[in-house]
Amino acid sequence: MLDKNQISRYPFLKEAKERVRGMNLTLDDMLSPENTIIQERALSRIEEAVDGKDIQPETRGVGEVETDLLSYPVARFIVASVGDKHLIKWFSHHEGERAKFFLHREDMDTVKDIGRELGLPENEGPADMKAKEGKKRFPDVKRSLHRERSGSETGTIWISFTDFLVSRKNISGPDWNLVNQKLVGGLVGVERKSYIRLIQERAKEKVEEGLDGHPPIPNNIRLKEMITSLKLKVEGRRKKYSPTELGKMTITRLPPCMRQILGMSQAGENIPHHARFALVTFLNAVGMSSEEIFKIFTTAPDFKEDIVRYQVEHITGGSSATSYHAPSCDTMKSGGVCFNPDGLCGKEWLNTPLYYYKIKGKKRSTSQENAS
Amino acid sequence: MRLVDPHMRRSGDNEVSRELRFMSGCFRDHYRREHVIPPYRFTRREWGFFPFGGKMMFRHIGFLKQEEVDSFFRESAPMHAYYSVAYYGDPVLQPMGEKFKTWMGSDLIFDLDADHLPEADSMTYPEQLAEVKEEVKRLLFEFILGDLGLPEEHTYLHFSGGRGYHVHVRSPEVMTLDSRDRRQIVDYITGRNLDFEVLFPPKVKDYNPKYHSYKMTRNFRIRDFGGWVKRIYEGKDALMKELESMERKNQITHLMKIASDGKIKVGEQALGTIVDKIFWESKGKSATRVNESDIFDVFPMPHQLETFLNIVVAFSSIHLKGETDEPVTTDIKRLIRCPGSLHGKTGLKVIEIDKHSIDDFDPLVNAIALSDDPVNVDVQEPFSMSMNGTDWNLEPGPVTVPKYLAYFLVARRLALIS
Repeated sequence: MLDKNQISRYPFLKEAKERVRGMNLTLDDMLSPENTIIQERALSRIEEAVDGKDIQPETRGVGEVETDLLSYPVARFIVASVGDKHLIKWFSHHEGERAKFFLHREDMDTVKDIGRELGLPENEGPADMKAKEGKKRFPDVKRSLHRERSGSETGTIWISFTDFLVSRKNISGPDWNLVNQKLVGGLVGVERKSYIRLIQERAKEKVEEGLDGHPPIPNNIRLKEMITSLKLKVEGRRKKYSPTELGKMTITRLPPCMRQILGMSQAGENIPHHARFALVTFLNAVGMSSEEIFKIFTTAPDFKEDIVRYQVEHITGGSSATSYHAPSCDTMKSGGVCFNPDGLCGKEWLNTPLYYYKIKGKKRSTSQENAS
Repeated sequence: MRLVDPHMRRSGDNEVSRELRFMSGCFRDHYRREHVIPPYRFTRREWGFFPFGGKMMFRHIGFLKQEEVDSFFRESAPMHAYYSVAYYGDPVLQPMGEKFKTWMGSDLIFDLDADHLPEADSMTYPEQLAEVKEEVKRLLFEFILGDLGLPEEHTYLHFSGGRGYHVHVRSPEVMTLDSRDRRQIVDYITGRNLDFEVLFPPKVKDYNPKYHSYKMTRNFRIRDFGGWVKRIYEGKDALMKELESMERKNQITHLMKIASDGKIKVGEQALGTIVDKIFWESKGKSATRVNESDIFDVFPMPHQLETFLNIVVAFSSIHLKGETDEPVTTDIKRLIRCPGSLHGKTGLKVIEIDKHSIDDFDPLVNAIALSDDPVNVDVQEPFSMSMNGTDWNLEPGPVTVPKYLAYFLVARRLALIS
């Protein structure tokens, strides 16, 4: 059972919804002038998401727990009313980050309870594994160097491999491939930190669910004000970095992998690390400046200006001694970011996305190449 | 799927060849005698058929009753029959994009075929079948029922009627996995994207605090870690056993074959060094070490260890049909050959096999569906194969053979109808 405080940290859970329902407040009530505090809290929740702020630890006084809890459905309603797909991505990402932040501070049983509700129930481990747990012959150096911060309860959590697959979908990197997992009899064994990361993905999805519904907007001045100001803010974030001016690059010549990655970034989806790296080096190689490249990433849900700027500069050689080459097709494939290869990609001599771009520049007639 | 239009002798432009008439007659007789039992939830599936003498497949077909399926097979006697692995709200809806909006889930399918075998062309059909059978056993027992732990009662094994086997898994937990999730399963089975840095993370060895000096090694976890860690150790054991009794030259050839099978780029000299380090430089001490411990510390150079591990992975993984570009498993809209139907290129029946008696299963005995009525054929090329327990050694020229063999020969263009 979660206490009042915990419930407000995970407002997307069934228990939280029931609690809100139990308060017998209608949407109109929550939007009425005497509940300005809730509205303010809801608005700042969304604004933090748009600004990509780090999650702050709670500093709440008496009564603020309720405000916090109630601000979630109000924030959801406002986000849905604004009806912007980038805002939905930013908001759900931010709420996912918040859940992760608090989950790291919970005891293991609470984490497992929340995991269960979000479709990641713990299973009884494979019978013969239990006895041997913790008797590793070789201590894992990686882990002993970066010891978990708080309440480190070690031990493996076993989840069904299908639950694992569905939850890891948007997490990239070799650490998350099924082939590199501890897979025994249909169960994947994960450590606490990875378990929380998977729950975060589920939470994000749960938050995102139903936000694209375009609800009818009640005639409420305060609400309309908030919607307008948010629309401006969202435009602001998009405009600050201006709609991507692709400069010297010709979009029709892009290989399908780069087109996909670029499309994902413009749709505000989180891009796997490999893909990001590939896109940056590729665009750099075809003559885009780091400033132009930087702008492409500004719609990503996990966008942090200084970090992205640093990464782009680093890769393009602006802030480091080396500049990186664009990856080859082989590297793209093994990184799992070779998307929708077409007829031209299939040619044996085509071994790098850059070459594709070059060929397309030479040939005007591209119609045959599109058949795959 | 690949559908080869049998290139037949034509007696006239608009006339059907005698061979084609014979072949379709065989299927017609068969489907009049035997019913095709429709698959689980067949009304939710899309069907596709390839007729004798046809140039394209007819798909987006749906059936609502078992009798409809039955009469379709009886009347049309298709050369190839397929149904979708997917279940749709509206299976006959077109175009595909619209139909897919009514997608409800898909069976999880694994397709093992002889076509990937590097030396398939030099092997006889029975040899190909035997080789694929060994692989399907590993796929089924080590991977599908083993590591993936999929429920046995929802897992079905079929002979494909051609050169391989299909495994169908229909348990609820896999039905709604999307193409990306299924790619992860394919990667697990084929060992693709396997990363030694994750499985055996680097660690510091012999650290000397005085000089801050150290060596790097890998954390070879315990066997019970499971997953590919265990697969690699078990693969190592099995491979060592095979190599032990070989001479040096044969060891290299053997490793070379596994490497090229797994598309690992390595030269003979490098493989020579690897077998030397294990077997020939330390009077067998190193071989004992590799056998008895799971540490692999007999290689002085990191790349030798990596090559050896890669070979063990290639040796222990499964080769699925078309695994690199578009394996059947990841395609949730795929049509798959219908169990109970006949395969147009062999005349053999697509049949379910009891998983535990796969060793006793002989496609060239158990999958024969056509009768043994005598048929006169004109053999074009020397042919020898055992079918239904009889060894056939045919020289070019006229001969009378049972119908099932006649079909096999005619369909593979080894004989004409006389």
